[in-house]
Amino acid sequence: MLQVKNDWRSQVRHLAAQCLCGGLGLVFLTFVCFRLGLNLATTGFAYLILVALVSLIGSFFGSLVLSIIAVGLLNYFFTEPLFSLRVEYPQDILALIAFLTTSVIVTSLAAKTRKVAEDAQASQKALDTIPALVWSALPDGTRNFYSQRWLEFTGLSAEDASSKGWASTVHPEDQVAVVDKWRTAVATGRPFEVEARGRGASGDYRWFLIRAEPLRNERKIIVKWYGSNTDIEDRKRATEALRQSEAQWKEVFEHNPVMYFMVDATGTVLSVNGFGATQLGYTVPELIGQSVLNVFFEEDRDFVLKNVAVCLGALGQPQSWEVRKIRKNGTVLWVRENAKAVRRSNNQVIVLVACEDITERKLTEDALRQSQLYLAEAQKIARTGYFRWGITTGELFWSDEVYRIYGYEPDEKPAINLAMQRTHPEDLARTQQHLENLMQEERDWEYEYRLLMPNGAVKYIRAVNRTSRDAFGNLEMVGSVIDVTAARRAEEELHQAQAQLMHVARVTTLGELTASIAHEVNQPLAGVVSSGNACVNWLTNQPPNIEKARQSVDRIIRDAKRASEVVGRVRDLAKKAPLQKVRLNINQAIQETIVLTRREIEQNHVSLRTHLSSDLPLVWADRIQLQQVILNLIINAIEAMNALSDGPRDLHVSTKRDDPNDVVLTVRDSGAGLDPRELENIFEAFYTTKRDGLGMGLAVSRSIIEGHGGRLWATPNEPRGAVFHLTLPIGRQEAS
Amino acid sequence: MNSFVFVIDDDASVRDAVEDLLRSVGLEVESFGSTQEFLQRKRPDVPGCIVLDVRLPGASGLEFQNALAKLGIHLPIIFISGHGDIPMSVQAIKSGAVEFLTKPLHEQKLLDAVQAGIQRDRARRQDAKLVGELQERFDSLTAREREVMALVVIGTPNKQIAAQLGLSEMTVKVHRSQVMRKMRAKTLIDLVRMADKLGVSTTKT
Repeated sequence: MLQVKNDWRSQVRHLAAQCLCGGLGLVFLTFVCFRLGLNLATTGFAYLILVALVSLIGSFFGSLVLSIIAVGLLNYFFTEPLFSLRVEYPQDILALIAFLTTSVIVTSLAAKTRKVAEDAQASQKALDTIPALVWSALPDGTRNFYSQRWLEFTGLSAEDASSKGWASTVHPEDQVAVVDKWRTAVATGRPFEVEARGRGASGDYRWFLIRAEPLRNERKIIVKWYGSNTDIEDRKRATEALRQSEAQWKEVFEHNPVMYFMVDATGTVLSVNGFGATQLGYTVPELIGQSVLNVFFEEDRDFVLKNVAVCLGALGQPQSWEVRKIRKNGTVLWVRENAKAVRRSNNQVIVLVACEDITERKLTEDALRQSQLYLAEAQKIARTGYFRWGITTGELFWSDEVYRIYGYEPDEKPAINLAMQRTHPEDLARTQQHLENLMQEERDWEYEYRLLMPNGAVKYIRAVNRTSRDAFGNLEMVGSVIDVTAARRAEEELHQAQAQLMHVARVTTLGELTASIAHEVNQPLAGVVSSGNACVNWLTNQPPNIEKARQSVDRIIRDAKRASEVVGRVRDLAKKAPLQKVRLNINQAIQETIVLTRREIEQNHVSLRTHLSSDLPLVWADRIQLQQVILNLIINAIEAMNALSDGPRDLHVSTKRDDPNDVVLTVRDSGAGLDPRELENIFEAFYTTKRDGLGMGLAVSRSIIEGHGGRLWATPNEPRGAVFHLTLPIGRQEAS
Repeated sequence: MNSFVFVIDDDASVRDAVEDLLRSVGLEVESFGSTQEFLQRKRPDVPGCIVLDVRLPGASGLEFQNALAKLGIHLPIIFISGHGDIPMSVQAIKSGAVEFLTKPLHEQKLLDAVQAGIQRDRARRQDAKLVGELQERFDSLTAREREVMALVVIGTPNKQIAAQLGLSEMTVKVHRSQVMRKMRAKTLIDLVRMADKLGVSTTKT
């Protein structure tokens, strides 16, 4: 507004100045011309010059006013009649009209010229305001104009530019290309466009987009080239940065050890990175355009399609899954796929998939699963279950085999009372006591108990537990339960077999004894019979041989005596086998023997106590024979107590040093006991108080012990039962 | 008489009584306490048998029976045993024992067994003697005569023998008559029997 106001004022001032100058000029010219007596035409020309001059500096309007004034002056001072506005001669009117016309034309021409000059100046200004380095060239390619910006940028003056040539401002590396292109453009008349670096005044180069278009006249002939150099340095940098960043991403895409796939909604591979292709044994072009299903196993394809469908159904939601892929060579590649469906700018929906090779993990997992299976299998085979019980927290874990052993379904929640339900009623109290003990202290425990299964079967269980505190100080117990039923059965059978064997051995010993007795007696008897036959023969021969017959009878007598001696020797048979005496620890011999009788002790519910003195000297004895004696005494004691239907069954085995020379072993039972009158008879051969007894055991035992220089005797026990005492001399050096 | 009974028993009562019994029926008897004693003794070359206790210290009677066979002592054995054991007696009889008797011995059974044993030995000896004579005769044949004999006894006609041995039929006939003469065979049947006893090889030598 202010600007407009200023314009208007300056225009008014301008107009005033024009009118003043023009008026003064007219006055001056009129005075001069009138004094000189110049005619109308001459004065008119003088006026025209003035009007033309004024119109060069003033406005058209001012000049027009001036022209009209000039016409008035001519009419008043230079046409007949003078000093009147009347015109005497018509040719003067024509002259005046001609003057006015000429003056208006001159004035408008001057205004036009001035306008053109102003326009040129304005367009020059406009060119300089264009944010580009503008130039123009002649049709032959010679540049004839450079905008102010161009000159400023290059630091050249217009003269320098035309003398040195614009090409010198182009980067030497780009010069040839630019010049060539420019020449080509000029020759062909096609628009010129090139990117090149231009040198600035400071000597730095910047990137420009140099373009030029030809200006053609009506006849299509090129009259001029107009060109501009647009500074694209920033864009170039940005592009370069973009290119670099793109290259970086490309790098990431291509070389990241992750397989990238881009597939369309139908599963066609749009793009895949080199790594992805390589991992599958393909090249990138081999995969692109193919169905992605080709790299999956036939049986996995439905799974893949389903997952892709899930992705497509939830655009932008990442999904992930694990699946096998098949390489070109047929080998398997396990991958974890992370996928996301996105809508592209062109409205196409695509699925981006990044896959990570998890083959190794998968194999490890498989191996782990396998080893877990093996472990479970091993537990199954070993009939060993594993459990963990947080005593403080109450958490309880059972392995599969524990379920199996306890006969529960695997979906049952483990609980202590479930275990208790299965525990054999006879072992229940003991087991509960054991559990209470377990909770008291940190240590390892071993415990055996029985289970009573719902079907009435009994299982023998051996538990090995460890009570300890975890990192939080909570008491917990880990352990294993082992089904030792089979072992127990085998052990029982073994014991049975052992017992049978023992029985057989005893019977066999007797059998051998009788065989031996029979042989020993039979031999002299055979002799007696044959000699008797011979004697008869000798006597019936003709003549009878009395001498021979007598000899036969002598032999009969001899053999008969021998037979009776044999019977007498039977009792001493035990001594016949040579003793193999060694120095031995009697306690150890007892313990070994007790192991053999354990089953009898347990089966007959006998409670065994041992009291073995620890400071006993070694004794000199035949281990086997001594153990046979001990075995005999223990079995006798058990059998004696077994004959009773009630009362305690206490078996007490003890050793002590009796006097400086002897070690005493006593076997005390709470059986029926012995009649005091029987106390000695029981050691006689074939004497027995047992229904199925053989009556040899104690006789032989005594023989053995006496063979060792010891003694074996029996006394009554209080309140009932019997005590067998056995002494053995201690093992001084003795000739064996 | 001309026979001998050997009694082997480690038990003197039995040994002496059996010896006495056998003597009382007029047999020549010699008794031994062990098999070693028996083996060391030079035995008279007359028919005989052994009365052997099965249960002997060292090698058992059965083992001794096998050992004797290996040594070429073919005396028949009568086993006596304190206790009859069926497998043992079966084994003994299978190995050629005459009898297996249990003690105390039944007089008649023992005497019968001893007689049978002596008889068996006598027959064996006669047989052995005959074979020895035959062997002597056979040894006197020439190699060619033996070849001819081998073919004759399997019934080969002269003509074939001649062809096989590359001789004339006449020569074969001469050899054949020599064989019959030297072997003292009256008929072809005799010769065949002799060949059988001798075990003359029926294959071409």
